[in-house]
Amino acid sequence: MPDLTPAIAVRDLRKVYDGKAAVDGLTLTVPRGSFFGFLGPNGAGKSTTIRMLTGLIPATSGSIELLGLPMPAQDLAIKQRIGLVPDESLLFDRLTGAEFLEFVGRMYGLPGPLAMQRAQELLELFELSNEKRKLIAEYSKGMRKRVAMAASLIHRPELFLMDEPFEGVDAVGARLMKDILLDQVSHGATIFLTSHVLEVVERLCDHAAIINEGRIAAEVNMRELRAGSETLEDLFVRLVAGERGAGREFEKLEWLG
Amino acid sequence: MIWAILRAQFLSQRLRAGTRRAGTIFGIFTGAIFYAFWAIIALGVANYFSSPDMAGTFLPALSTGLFFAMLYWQLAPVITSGFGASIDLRKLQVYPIPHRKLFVIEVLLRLTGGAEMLLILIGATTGLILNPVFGAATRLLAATGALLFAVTNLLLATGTRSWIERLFRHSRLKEAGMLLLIVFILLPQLLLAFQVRKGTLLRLAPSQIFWPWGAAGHLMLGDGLGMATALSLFWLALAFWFGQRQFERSFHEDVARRSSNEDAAVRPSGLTERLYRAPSRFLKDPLAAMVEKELRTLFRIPRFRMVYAMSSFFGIVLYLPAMRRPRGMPSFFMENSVTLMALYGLLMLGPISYWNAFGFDRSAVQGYFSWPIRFRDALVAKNIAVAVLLIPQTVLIAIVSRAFRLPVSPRGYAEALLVILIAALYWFSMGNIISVRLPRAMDPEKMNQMSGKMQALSIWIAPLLLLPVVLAFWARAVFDNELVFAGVLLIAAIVGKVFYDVGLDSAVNAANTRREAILMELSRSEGPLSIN
Repeated sequence: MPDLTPAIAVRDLRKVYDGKAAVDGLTLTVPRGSFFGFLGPNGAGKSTTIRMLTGLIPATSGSIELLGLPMPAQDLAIKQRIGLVPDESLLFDRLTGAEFLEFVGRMYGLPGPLAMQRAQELLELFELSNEKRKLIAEYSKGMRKRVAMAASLIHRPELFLMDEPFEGVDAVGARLMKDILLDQVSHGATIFLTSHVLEVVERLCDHAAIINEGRIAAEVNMRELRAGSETLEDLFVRLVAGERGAGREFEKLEWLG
Repeated sequence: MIWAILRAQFLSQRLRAGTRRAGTIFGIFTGAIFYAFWAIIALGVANYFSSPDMAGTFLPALSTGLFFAMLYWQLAPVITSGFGASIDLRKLQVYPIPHRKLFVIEVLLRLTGGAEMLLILIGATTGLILNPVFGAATRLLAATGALLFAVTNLLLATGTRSWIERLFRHSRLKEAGMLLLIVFILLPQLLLAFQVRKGTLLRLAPSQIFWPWGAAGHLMLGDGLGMATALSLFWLALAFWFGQRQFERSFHEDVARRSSNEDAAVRPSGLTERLYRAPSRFLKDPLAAMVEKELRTLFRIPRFRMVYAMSSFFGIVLYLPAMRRPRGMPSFFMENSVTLMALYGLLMLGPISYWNAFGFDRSAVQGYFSWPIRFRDALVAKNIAVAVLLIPQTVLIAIVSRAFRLPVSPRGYAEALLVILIAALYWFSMGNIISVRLPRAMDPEKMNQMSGKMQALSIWIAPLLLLPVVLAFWARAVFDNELVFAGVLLIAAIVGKVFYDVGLDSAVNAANTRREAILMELSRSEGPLSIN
């Protein structure tokens, strides 16, 4: 019988730094099996939210449930079932891609030989097998993202938390990653990702939320949005830039003209 | 331009100071004690050189003093692997700044690697100026000679730093270069150990005018003025050429590097792979995987390899006084040479391993909080990895000791290994706490960046922690009984285990409450200068 609890259930989540709320009363539900885009301008609280979801930083107040389990009370059980691609590098630079993937597999409890086998297969899948003896320190940004995504897959997680997973990845690599993620969703996994590239979210996601100044500004059903006349970019700019007064401010700098 | 760089540096450091006020205050406090110590010595030196009665001894005293000052100035940064502040070329080379200006900044920054010797030099010069025996001309020469000597040292230190940093950025074969440097540093000990004739030694005495310190000493005292001036200028020109050449080479290498790094590809051999995987035979995952990862990582970091090699060889430097003792006269230092050198080696490894366990992991430290593992296991794994490395290190130290005719027996070797493993319990315990309380991101390719606070902790706290181990040696000396020694050592081991467990619990608790600060600190990048 399928589990009907949401993949992510967040209630009144707050994170305060020096009296200023980075995340301010966030309430969000991400259904299982959905491809969820989490959007917002720089400094809106996206990465802070993902860090709280992964247990990397504690929330000031509010509650988090992932896959029906409370965080942080059952953090080890939750971590066992999630795959993570964070914004800051999670890669050990002095390991090769193969060594890192095997290491991560073993962190998730895979037996050594199985972790090694999956590491090789993932390297081939992400077209990194030619670089398997190269230290990660020498990888390009796109290659690092590919290894990070491969590492998030190695233990077949049920929920993926991804912060800008396509940043710095070339078109071919990005297509591959998108196909893999869509395939994971079709097999029941849930994806929660942040991205600045609205086209990516518009094309991949079935649900999205726009966060601005730590609060949810809008929750979007992508099917309904696609049926309407407004694009995701229009909506985003209306909700975010409207408040910040974006415009052709550069024209005021005469020396730049 | 210089001010713009310094301002950017100040702004980069501002947040760090704000987030770690206690650590900063501690650093300032220990720094003040350190420099007060050198200031007192400088006052003593000034007092000596201002005494008219001692004027007859000034030339050998000054030359020998300058020799040790130069030795310290050039070698202390190498031995402690703390090169002081330096320009981070990777951050500045994109701007249209003339190389000459960067070179001048780099030379001035070398003051941070030997400020204590500058104090001594100022003390000596002030003493000579105040000495009523000397006239105005000699006073001027004293100041000029000291200035030339200081600039020569700064230039030489600039070149040495650039050279060593480049050397260890690349292939392991070039570590042979480091071995040459070690041999050079150990030359005085070699001469003493192999009992070179007195006449030969006298011809090489520090007061000989051809040495840079000898020329400076003669110049400062107005003795053999023409030759001393010419030689001082020669050494200055040579140091300038060396410093500028090495700096330029580093600059161009930094610009061109990374297209094809020879260290980039790992060439796994059957033996090294088996060694890396050896922990899996004795430990279970995730501990085994983490120990394996640590061993792979540490041995691929040029900076670690260099410090590891130095920690195995440089202990012998401590033995200069002991080796001059007449043969047949046992001393504590001779009898426990391997143990003491091994302790020195373990202490040296601290700042780049157990005192700052997550320094090389940088932002990847978040993995230990994100993966389904206990943070405690991560710390234990890092400690085990260093403990494993102590075994070959102690073997190397024993071999070096034999080469220098120090007494080493299998029993002595076993005792040394046991003692450093017990000492490691105390140092690892404190190191674990410091690793989560004062984490600091480290660049694996740089030789500097060892935190001043780390050095301060190494100097002040590390020896204090060894009190239980010291008690064992004290008991052996007093009771002249090996059983008493073994008994006290056993107690030290038991106390050490308790101390380690308490420290581990404390570190884990601190990590859980400070994980955000830890991640922020380890993800931080430096300003345009790399500060020691």
